Amino acid sequence: MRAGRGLRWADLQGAKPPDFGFPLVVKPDREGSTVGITIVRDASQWEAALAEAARHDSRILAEGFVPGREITVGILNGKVLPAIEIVPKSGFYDYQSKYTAGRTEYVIPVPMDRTSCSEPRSTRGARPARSGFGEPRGSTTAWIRRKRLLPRGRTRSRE
Amino acid sequence: MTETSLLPKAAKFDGLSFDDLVAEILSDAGLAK
Repeated sequence: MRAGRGLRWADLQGAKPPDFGFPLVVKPDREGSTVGITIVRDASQWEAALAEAARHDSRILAEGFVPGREITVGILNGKVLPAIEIVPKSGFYDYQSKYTAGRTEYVIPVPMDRTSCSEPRSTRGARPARSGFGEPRGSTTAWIRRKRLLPRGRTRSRE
Repeated sequence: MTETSLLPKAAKFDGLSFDDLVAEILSDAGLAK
């Protein structure tokens, strides 16, 4: 199994966890809003995590878990909007944290040490988009987790 | 995207209303881009 690439559930039956260690994240390859995601802390949770992800998609993705702060930055027609820090009270920005009022604090402006974390820059000609990235505590590296274009092709919004 | 989505939160902080944000997104939308 490889990180960053979804594999078919049918090919994962009985597969061992990937070798990049725990914790890791198992998720449906083509879902959103944290649906079907499990943070796998040890090998005993692996099979259940695969089964949960398989309820939502026939392809499954496993990634290394990146601890740290979660910060999202919107880009609108090339203009960088203010960053937002996402602070879920449960510690995990899951479906309930996203869509239940009061379960997550959204911090604007983001308290950030400008000398230790590079800022996202405006991209000429960029379409409306949102990037999520994390700044692991004690680290000087910002990890860009995902980039999304808006609007997405959904029949309804879960945001 | 709804009014409570993350992008509108950031836009609002920057002085852009939800309606104006939607209008700006639509103005940039197009198959030729």
